[in-house]
Amino acid sequence: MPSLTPMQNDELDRSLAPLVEKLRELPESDPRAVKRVLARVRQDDGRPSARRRALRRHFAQRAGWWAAAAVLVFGAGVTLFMRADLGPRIAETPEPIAIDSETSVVQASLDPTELGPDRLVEQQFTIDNGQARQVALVGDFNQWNPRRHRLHRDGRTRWVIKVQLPAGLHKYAFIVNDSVWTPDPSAVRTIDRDFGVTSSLVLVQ
Amino acid sequence: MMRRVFAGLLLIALGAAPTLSAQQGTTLDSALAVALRPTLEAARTDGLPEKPLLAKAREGVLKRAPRERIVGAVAALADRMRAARAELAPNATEHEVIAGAEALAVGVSGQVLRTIRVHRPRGTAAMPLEVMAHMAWRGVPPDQAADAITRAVTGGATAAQLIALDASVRQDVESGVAPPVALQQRTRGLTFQLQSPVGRSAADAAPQSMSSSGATRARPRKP
Repeated sequence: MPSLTPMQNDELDRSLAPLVEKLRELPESDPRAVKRVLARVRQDDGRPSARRRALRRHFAQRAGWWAAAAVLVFGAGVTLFMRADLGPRIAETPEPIAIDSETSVVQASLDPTELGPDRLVEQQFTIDNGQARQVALVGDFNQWNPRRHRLHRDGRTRWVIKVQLPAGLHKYAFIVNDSVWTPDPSAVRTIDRDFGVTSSLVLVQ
Repeated sequence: MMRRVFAGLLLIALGAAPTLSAQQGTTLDSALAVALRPTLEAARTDGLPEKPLLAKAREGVLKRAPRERIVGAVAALADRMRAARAELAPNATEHEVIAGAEALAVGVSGQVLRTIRVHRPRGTAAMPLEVMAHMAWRGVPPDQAADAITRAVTGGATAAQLIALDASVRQDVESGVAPPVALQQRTRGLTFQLQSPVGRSAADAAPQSMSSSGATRARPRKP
């Protein structure tokens, strides 16, 4: 293609200019359609979607139930926390577990009376109380928890329980009817210097 | 209607926790837990057993003791365990530390713990200390109980003989003999048994008869 001179270029630009201008013009739009679009934009501006509106309506209608559920969950959480005593840092230490057969074989080669708390001995606790509706055994071996060891009635007035205890010295007491602190009348008593309440003493051998 | 249901559920939820707590009886509330934390953390750092400390705290809760008293009792027990461990050094077991703390609590001296340690190898000092404490609680003066048990241990008494001594003192006390007199008489019998050749062979036989299923034990060292 032969090259144009600058004069020829200018002339070409001038002749093309009206055509370019014509092409730049937008086609005429329907004013009613524009109005409809603008109205819809204004309507939707700042308003949630239909789905969100439905959700909000749902929560508004059932606010009471949701609040009640939240309170129940909170209450259950508080209860669980309190039952766990001190939470994870100083949670209740586990009960002594029965020694397995392998451990027993090892320990059987020693004098059993020399063994410490690894050796469990069945100990029977009894108390006579005709007025009692229920009797619990508490002691250092069950972390003084009255729900751990409940005695059962044996006859009209006798209450009894057998517990596997680690060998050693243990302090304990009975709690009658969930309220009356009762030392074992047949055992040695300790005057509790710490809290001023008498307990009983058993030397498990 | 909705509001009534909601109020009912609220009351149930709020009431649930304290009711369970009261039934349990030994729950440590959060304020007590916070108050105990320094003592327990110090004990943990020092390698002391935590279980007796927690048991002491729960005992206080069950006995409805004030918080300050519970904290004081737990701290005092931790101190006794530290002292017992020091006296039973160098390698006291947890059981020995707990038994030593109990012996110190009834008035047995640290010197007695050291003497017991010398004559009883690791893991075997707990029983003599527990027998001492048991006798002291029964009414025997702590010094007399400590003296009798220490002499028995240094004379080579086995755990079985110490337990038998405790049981015989108990029998005498229950039949009306004064605790110090009962211990004095029974200790005399044990001393004779340990000194005589017949008694020695009986002492040797005692643990073996207890472990007739093939058990044997090492004799404690004699001074």
